[in-house]
Amino acid sequence: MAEVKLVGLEKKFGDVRVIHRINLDIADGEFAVLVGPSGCGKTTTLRMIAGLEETSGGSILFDGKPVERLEPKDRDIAMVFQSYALYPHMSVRDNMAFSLRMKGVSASEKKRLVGVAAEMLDITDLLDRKPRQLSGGQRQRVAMGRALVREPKVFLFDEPLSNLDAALRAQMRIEIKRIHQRLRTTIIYVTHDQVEAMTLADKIVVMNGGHIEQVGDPLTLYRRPVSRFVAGFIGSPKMNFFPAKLLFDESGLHADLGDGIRIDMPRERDAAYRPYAGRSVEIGIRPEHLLDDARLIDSGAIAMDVTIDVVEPLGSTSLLTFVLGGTSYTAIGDIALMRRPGARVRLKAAARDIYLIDPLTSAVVPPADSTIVRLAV
Amino acid sequence: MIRRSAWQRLGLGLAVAALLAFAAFPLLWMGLTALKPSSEIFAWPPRLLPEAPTLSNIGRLFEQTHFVTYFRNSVIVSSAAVVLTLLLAVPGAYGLTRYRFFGREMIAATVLFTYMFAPIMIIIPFYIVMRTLGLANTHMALVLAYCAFSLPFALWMLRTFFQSIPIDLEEAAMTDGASRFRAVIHVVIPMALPGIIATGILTFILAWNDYIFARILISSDNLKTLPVGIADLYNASVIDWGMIMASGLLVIIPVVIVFSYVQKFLVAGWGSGGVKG
Repeated sequence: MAEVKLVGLEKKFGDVRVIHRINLDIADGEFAVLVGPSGCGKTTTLRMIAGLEETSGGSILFDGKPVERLEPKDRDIAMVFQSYALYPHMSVRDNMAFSLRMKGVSASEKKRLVGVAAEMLDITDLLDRKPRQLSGGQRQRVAMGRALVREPKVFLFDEPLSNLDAALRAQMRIEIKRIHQRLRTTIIYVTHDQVEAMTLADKIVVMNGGHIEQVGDPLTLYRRPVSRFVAGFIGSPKMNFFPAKLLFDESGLHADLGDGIRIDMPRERDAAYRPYAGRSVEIGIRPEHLLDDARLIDSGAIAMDVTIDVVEPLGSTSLLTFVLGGTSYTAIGDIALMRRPGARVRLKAAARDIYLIDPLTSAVVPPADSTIVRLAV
Repeated sequence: MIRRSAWQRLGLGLAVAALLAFAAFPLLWMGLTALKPSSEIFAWPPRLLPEAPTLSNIGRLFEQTHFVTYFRNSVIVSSAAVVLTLLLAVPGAYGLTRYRFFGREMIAATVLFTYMFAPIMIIIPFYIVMRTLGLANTHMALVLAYCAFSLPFALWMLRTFFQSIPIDLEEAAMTDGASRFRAVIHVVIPMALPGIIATGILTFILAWNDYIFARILISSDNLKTLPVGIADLYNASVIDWGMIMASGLLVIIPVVIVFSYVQKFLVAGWGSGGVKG
């Protein structure tokens, strides 16, 4: 078990800087997920932590000790690869025992440790098979077993579930979480899938273009994204961003979305949003907060009248797509309302579920009184 | 599977038979002649099968010539060439695959280029180098020559092999606590084994069959290898065809045995080396 710290970590390939001096603290026993679109630098960061990629600057500390000059074998880590990377010429048992063999562990101890890990992952029956005789899900388990056997300070996972089908992925996700709850070993997990990040992480690290955009627990990232990128990346379906003009008149602050749609800003945000009056901004509202629901009371809610373009029933709710100014947006509809394309509906959102984004900096303007947090928690 | 009509199959069979006869008949003739007494070898009209099969040709080969010495020399030189070539080519090809350094692709291309020189073009300078080093007329000179000549293709073949081994496997071994060296020993080499065996076989055959280097570099009779030794049988005042054919037969027998045993590696080698699998 170890606490992992990245201090001013940097990576350049030739003249191209791919990781820009990032700082990150991961507590002992924490499950940290690095998430971001492809090319954001999450895998490179993980590989630097593993020692498979040299750092160009900065430091990596395990329990306060710098490890960036150590060979991977001396870092006391275990890594699970996207491709599983099982040794094809060895049986499952030998795959799992490989790290013990490198350590020179006795045969009886090897047998015991492999047995424990195999049991934990329910792969005891597979121990004598070769990797090519296993299904994708079984290979994934063996790859995890191989990491578990090592009893490392830190587990590193590089998109371990992306080669599995959806059902298996959900199942393995639960299993990984269960293993973490049991072992409480520090885990650093890379994925591009925000659902995986939300469900697994104690701490999510959102990366974009070689920078860390935001670090926080899943709910904080969901409720208080600091940037347009995080707001759009976390949450599914994606947050709607309406280009708007923020206006101030005798009735208070409101956003003009065009097409005659006007959203009144909550009074308590006046102080925070006033500096943006008269400017072009973006209004962010998550689909799950933008509702076509007869039960929603009108008071305190923001309303907009739109024409439904596409209806996608999901069973308990339906996704409603509408078009404003040539851009598609999504709202959640009450399935009981049986909306049809072309219907004119009034969508409502609670005032606290609105985000104001400064298009110049792409930052989410913090509501000064932190209403969002207080109301949402 | 492609389904063929009976006529197509017949045509294909005939073509294969013709090709086989063209390639195998000289071998068959050699083998049968080796078993004929001298009187039958020169009989007219020639007969395919020996009337009175005899092993006397082989017997004379052992009694009257240094065949055993030549054979031993060939085994020693060819085996040493294989070992040396693999010792150099495995790390070399690995380095050309896994390490990024300036001029890597150029080196790889130049290596292949050297393979385009015919032995006859480099034999004289090579001889001078060996003489300067005091290695002329030694087995070491032959081993070095075969190694120098096999290395380019050995490097290329093994490089293709190492490229087909996913780098994840090595990285997994390294995060599993292996040094790079141990990762290579425990993971890369076992996976590249078909390629290493195939490369070894091809080197062995090149050394085993070589005539020109052995002819120029070796002058002592007791150091000669089989191809040179057999060729010298022609220089006797009376050419003993029975004995020459017997020696030919004995030369190819070990190669045939080795080939039939390692054929599967060779096929696996060529198959998996080229295509990612």
